[in-house]
Amino acid sequence: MNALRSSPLLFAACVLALALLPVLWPDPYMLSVVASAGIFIIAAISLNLLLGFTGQLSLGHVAFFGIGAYTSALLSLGFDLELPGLAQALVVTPKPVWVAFGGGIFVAGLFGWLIGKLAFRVRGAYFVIVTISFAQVMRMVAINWVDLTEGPMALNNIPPLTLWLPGAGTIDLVSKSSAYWLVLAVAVVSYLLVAALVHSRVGRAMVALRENETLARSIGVTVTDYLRIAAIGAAAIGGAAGGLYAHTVRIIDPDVFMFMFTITMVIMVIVGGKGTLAGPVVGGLLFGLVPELLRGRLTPEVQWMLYGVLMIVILVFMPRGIVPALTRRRKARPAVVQPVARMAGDTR
Amino acid sequence: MNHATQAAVQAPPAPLADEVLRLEDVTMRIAGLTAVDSLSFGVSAGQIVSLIGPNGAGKTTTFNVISGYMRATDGRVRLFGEDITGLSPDRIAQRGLVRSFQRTSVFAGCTVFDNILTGLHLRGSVGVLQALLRGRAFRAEEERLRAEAREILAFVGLSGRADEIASGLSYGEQRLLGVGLALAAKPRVLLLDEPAAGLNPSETESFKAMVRRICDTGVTIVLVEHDMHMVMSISDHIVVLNHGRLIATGGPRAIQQNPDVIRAYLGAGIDRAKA
Repeated sequence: MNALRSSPLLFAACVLALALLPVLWPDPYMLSVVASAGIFIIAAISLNLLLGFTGQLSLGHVAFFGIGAYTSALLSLGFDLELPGLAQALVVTPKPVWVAFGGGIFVAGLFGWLIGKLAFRVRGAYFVIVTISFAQVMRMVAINWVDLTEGPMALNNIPPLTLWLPGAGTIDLVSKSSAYWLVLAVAVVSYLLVAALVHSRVGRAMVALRENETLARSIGVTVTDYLRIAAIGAAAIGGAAGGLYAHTVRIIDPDVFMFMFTITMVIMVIVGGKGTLAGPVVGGLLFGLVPELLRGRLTPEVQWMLYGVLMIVILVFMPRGIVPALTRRRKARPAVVQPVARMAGDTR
Repeated sequence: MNHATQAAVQAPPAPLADEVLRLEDVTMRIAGLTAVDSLSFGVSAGQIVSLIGPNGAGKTTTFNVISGYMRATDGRVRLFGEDITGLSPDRIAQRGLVRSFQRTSVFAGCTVFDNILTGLHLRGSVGVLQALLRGRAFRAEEERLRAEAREILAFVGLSGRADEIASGLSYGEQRLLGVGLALAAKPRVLLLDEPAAGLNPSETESFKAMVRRICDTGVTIVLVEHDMHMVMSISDHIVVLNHGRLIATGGPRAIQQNPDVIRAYLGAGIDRAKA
């Protein structure tokens, strides 16, 4: 199940290969395609924490993405707000981009906490409905609160994220390759955060909730605490993905709350393998890059049908997703020596 | 264990000094049906106590009330003298009372080793921050938990299966794993709900031996069981329920000869008015 836990070398090699991509193949179009797939992969990694590890299907995950994007964009642009009851308009001056980016993560996490508090009273279908409604409400707010969000006119001229280098000073991360590296860095950090959380007592409690909630309670797992941790973590990382989107695309409108984005994330997680660390990455690369490879060769209608067929075929032959199917095949060979090898690998 | 056996012979009303669990007039009504009717009994430390009775007598409901999965309509449950009525199952587990379930209940998609490791939840204290930072305290705790998990697996005899996925185990092995999971929570009182159901005779024998070994480590055990051979040979004390009411308590020998018990198991409902 944990393909990359047993082989940190493989993980390091993958990261290195991805990091070298802009040097080896400096095609700006291709880099921007991979970078935008990367943003969705980060969002899928965050969704996987909730969907894959605690087993809660959130169909409103794009809300956290959008909240992160809008918060980060608004903080970096500055805004003024007239609130009823306040004599003067609340004026927020533009903040440094990284402060704004952190603010986006924080506010998204805060909403994750709030949604966790409200929604985890119900489970199953009701939870799904609450999360869908939440994302729709957020979309309506973004469309209609024109004073703050500019509504459908969109927020534009969002400043890019910056990097301070000794000697070179502060540079804007606007070039395709720098945006690519930025996305890659955030993705690696997100991946490692989720990996660290999952391979701990906290993560085991989350998996226990997914596998058998009644039994989990009997061994002393406080259900709501761990669901809330997962919701906050998922929302915060989702917010980071949104912030990246805002500062690399540099224009956002209420369409960032589109239901289609949630579906894309869910498909990435499920096809890749929910509850595995590598799943969202594999699924994300597949569904993020294939559309670009096919662009121009097939008409969009044919493409959409093809994705549908692709997903069905994958799930028929690998019902738990690509990653579990591959690791099982690998695991099937060395059966006897496993206990020792595994423990040795675990105690790193 | 022996001193406790003797204590149980005394009359029940006077609360025993080493009593770990006490039910006081517990009543549980479920949609008009009184599943448990003002039930009172105590469990002394270090004993193996069996809760028996015909089907529908209210045994599992009693377990659910004790372990917090159901909230008693009336009455109190005390654990080590503390009132635990209405606490949630996880809070009760934190206070040292853990249960196993009637149906096999394991984390089916996880390996046997990870099952036990998960069961050790209460034995660890690592939070989110420590998990993310992976400091020395974190690694020390993981190491300790892994060692404990290996010990528990050896105790229930599943060491050789550590890397199997739990759903791939045989029925009997899954029951053992269920007990291992409960043990991992380091209970001081362990409730086992029909642990031997569906086991073959030799499996039942080794299961009995294991229950005794658990008891020898100082864990008090309350058992719901239909296998009378097992109940009579293993119990220090037996509590008999019928239609939600307590009809007899005592040692195995006394229970076997108790006319009310015989009637409950063999006779029809006509004689119930007497009891």
